[in-house]
Amino acid sequence: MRTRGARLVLAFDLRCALRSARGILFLVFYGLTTWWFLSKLAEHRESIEAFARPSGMKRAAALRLVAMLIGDDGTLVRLLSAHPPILVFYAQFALITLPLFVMTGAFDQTATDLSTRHLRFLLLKTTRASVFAGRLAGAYVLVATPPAIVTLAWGIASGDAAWGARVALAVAALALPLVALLALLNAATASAAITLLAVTSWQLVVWLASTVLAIADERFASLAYLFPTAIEPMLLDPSPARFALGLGAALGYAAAFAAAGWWIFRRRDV
Amino acid sequence: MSAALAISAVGLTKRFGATRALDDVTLAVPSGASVGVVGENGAGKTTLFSLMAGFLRPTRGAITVLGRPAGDASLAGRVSILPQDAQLLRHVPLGVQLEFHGRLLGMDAPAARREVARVLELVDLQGAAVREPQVLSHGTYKRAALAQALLGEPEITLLDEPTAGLDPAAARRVRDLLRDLRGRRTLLVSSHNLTELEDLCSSIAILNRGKLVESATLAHLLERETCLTVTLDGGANVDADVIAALAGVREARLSERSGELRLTVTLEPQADVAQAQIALVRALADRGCVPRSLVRGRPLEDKVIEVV
Repeated sequence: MRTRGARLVLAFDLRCALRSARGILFLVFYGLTTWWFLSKLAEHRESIEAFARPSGMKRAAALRLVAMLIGDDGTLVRLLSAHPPILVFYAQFALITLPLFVMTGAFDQTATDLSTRHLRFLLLKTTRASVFAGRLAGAYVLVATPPAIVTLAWGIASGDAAWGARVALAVAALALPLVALLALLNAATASAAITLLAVTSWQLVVWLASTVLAIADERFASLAYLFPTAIEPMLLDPSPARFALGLGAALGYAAAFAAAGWWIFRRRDV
Repeated sequence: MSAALAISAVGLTKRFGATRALDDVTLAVPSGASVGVVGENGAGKTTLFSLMAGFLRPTRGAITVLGRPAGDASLAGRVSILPQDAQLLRHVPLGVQLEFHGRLLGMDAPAARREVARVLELVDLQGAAVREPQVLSHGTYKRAALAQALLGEPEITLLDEPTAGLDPAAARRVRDLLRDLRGRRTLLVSSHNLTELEDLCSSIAILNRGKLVESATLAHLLERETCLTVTLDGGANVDADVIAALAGVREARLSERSGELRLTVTLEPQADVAQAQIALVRALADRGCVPRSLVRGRPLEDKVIEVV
């Protein structure tokens, strides 16, 4: 692969995205949603900090529901005792909403280029690998950078820069398999709309299967790993070993999706 | 063998579902040749170009370009194409897109900008660099797409209907441009404008329903050394037998089409074409006939209609 070609595609893609409806919609959507959530966190700061105390956890039902998503009680207690509660809640928000933001910003990597045959203008000037990798990397930079920066900044503002940096890394890690999954679906369907429909359906079916079937048999809960968001608890786990496992899993998912996407893209008619 | 060949296709077949778009095509294009690809709509011209460019994968058979499999990464920058149905990015100014293409070809930013200015001038679009493709007319869009095929110094250029939709002045400018490129790189041009191909190309490949039905040099295909074609006014007083009796003439046939007469004269294999031409003009003049046109060989149109 010509890395120069991939770098040029990445830079051009970013430049175009930031001037396109897709890129602007993503940034506005992300900015407004995050601003709203952060303002709510700031508004309810005292309640959240009260909740973090063991006695408070039993009282605030709504906050407890949100906190449950972080993991089991042990994980929750350790996180809340070690880090600013407001940052722990934000971390959960950042990871839960990430798939939505990634879908908004990265759903069209090669799909429209395939459907309009724009790729025909590029493929005799650079390689398929450069286009595929450059578009994937461009989409990743677009959707992973703002959440990672905001998370890091929020960590610094909350007085726990180290934890903020770790959550920023977790956000960046989780974005990678999601972007790679969209790259795979783009290559397979050549349609941005079908890609969105497919990834949403996939996530929904996996979530339903893993939660509903798990009522009958707990072993079905592992079906959640058919979608990469299943690794969220690992990425928030205070244990460095579990965190590293989460990072490794994110890379594994990303490698598998990207390899499958590339396998299709390099062989398909354009 | 492949060292002297720009493109070599053997048994090339491409299916789209049940449709056989290209069927067992074997074709060799020598380096530096200018080849016209002719055929009705749906004959397989665009499919053939797309296979040469590596956009499509053959269902069967093999195709090599500059000695490498079509679509091979090493061909980037060595082959250019004007695709028939590809779209430029609608909202990105033309100059920005072309500069990006130039950079993909290995140029640095200033060199790419100079190259963009050069190719836009070649297609007479100097002022269009800041315009977005979505606001360009069909003809301007076509020239913009042609400009990207002229970037750099590719060894092979594939042009799928380069003058379709252009006004006469723009079409002439493009033809002049292609004439200038002829011999400096391998050119493949598909077109329904057969006069244009006669003018530009040294060889012709004729496709019919996906099959290659003819591939030869233009001189051979049109029998330029053994045939003369004269177009006359409809009421001209010509006797084919008189013409057939001229020295070096084997056969003379008269036909009428669209209100004009066409005299097709087949020469003996050893006949001197120039002398036969002079004798023919004199014979016609003796009968008071002034030819509208006299060309060596048969019109490509007739040949195409004959074989498809």
